[in-house]
Amino acid sequence: MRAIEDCKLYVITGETYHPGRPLVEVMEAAIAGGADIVQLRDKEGTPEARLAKAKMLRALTRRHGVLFIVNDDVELALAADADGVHLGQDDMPLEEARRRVGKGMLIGISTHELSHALKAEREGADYVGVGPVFPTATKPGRRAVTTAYVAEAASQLRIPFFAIGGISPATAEEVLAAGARRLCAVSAVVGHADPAAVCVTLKRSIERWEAEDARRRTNRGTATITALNGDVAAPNAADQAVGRIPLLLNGKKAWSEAVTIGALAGELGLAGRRVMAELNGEAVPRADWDAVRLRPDDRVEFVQFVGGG
Amino acid sequence: MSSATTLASALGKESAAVGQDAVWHEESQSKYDRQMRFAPIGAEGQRLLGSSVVLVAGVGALGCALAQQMVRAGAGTVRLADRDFVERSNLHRQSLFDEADAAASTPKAVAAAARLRAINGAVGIEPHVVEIGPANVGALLAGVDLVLDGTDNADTRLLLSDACFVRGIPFLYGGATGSAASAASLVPGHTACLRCLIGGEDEAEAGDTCDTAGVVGPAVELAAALQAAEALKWLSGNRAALRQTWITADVWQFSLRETKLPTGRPSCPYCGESDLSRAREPERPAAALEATVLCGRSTIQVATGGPLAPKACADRLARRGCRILAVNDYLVRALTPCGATLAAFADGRVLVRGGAVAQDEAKGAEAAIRLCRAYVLETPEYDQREEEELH
Repeated sequence: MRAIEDCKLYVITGETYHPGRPLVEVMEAAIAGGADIVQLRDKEGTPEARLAKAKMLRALTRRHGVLFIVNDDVELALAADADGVHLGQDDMPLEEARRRVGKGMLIGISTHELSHALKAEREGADYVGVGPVFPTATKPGRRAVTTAYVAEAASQLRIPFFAIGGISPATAEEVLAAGARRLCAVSAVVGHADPAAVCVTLKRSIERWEAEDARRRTNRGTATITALNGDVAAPNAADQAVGRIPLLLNGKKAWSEAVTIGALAGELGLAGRRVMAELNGEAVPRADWDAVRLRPDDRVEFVQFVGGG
Repeated sequence: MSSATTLASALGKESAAVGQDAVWHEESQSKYDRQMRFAPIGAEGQRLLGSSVVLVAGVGALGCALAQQMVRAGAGTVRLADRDFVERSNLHRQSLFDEADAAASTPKAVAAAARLRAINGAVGIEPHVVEIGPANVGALLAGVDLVLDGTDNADTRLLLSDACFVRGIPFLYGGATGSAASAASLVPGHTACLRCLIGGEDEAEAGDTCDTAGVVGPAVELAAALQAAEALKWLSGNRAALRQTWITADVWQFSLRETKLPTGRPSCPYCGESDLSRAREPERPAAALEATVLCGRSTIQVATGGPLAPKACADRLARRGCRILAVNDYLVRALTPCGATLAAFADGRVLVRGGAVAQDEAKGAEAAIRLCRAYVLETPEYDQREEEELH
């Protein structure tokens, strides 16, 4: 089974968006375009019809080696041998679901604010949905959380999160710029005449941002050498227990809970100050501070802007 | 036209060009010999340099050093833009000015132009006594190959960076405060713009300015040298040799760090891939009287909205009880009865310092506007109550 960490593009079924076209055909096209996860969302069908669809999608996803998740219904997920179940804020509590499905099945949680996501992370969710980022017809009446919540999630969460709600090739850049590296789409994919092409486009956008992240880390080796020379404090069990990571901050070893450059700047009281940030030798554009995640032994420098002339 | 005349006129043109070329060659051979012997520049680089137009934005410490480098090196035209006049406190680091300039309160652009013309008469020098702003940045950048940053505040740098990136002109940032020097070449199509690196106008100004932390000459000269080296590369056809890093250095507790510059951000309207037509220079409506606090200088600048005639203005100020400290074609400086110093420029700006402005920084802007109304403007909204308040 594919690890959730390796999944970037999540596609949810929405049969009302493709009248006249079979469900399996549309979802197979999405997978061909690069979808890593397929979720069955069907709140209307009879139990028999839903089980039949779940079994068809299970067979399809197994054939292509992608994950299959069932929305809402823990029993259906078990009956169809799905890889996971996805729960909303008003569905079965996570702890109860975990007892029912055990450790082998993924549990994802829909979240609409940071407190939801942090709670889900604490309680052992495998991933969360973050949204709806934009207003969407799939969830009419729900207030959009905007990319501000995406940025918060990017700076605070350690488990994978998928930005959802109004995600399309047109909005993807904005969401990725806010810090998302995983996207979930419904109508933009399944309602399109060419679902595979839409998935390819979304996947490329994600990969471009990941490549940029990777490029920023090319010089990470130096910090490791410093550590080997015994120049820095030994990892502290207490630091690791509370999720702190070691950093080389302005040339000195430091432990931080911050997940992103932006959070670190906030921790240091530098938010809103005229400073430039540098990660592993390269300047990080201000607007990307909340999107650039820190890793152990990253070298971070905050440089005061020299303004005189 | 017969083919013979065509040929003759073509030959004529060519021989005239060769003649000019020979003169140019002879003059530059002697003047720029040592620079041309430097292989990466050579005769071709010197020729390119000689046809270039550069804007030195701000003619303070950095601007003096930058302008001097460009003029001695033989740039074609050096355009200077500065809003300020020479004061004694400038002289320890602003290398183109002397005590006479300070005594006469000569505008920096004008004083620098006189000195630069004496240094190298072959270079076209265009002084502009203006504050660089949205209204004039387009004209200042017209025909310019490169902008050398000699400004002293982030807002003007952001304005210049935006305008340069929209037009595809490299912006060579430099800064010096205390013993720290900084420089970076921001090149449209290659690097991120200044806005992406340091944030927009909403970020707080750097805590230290030259007026609070002071500045030492070597820090200025280092920053300017780093900028000028990049300018020479760009203007002499050695663009591939440009350094793609942001340097922060300290000349006292010696350190020098290089930070790799990222490429443009795709979603930035200035340095990104997005359609350039989306990028708009900020349009600020000109208020009748608009006051700006000049960072860290206990000086407030008031834009009066129209041009002022310095000599007529001096008469008015004297009539209204001010002592005239200096008057020239570009500005008049005067001391008001309440102890504030006014410097009224021909372009309509007034720098206000001291008196009620210094006593209460929060109300400084208001007080500065009142002072301008009371003394500088032609039809003063004179009011006994205000006069008392000002005292």
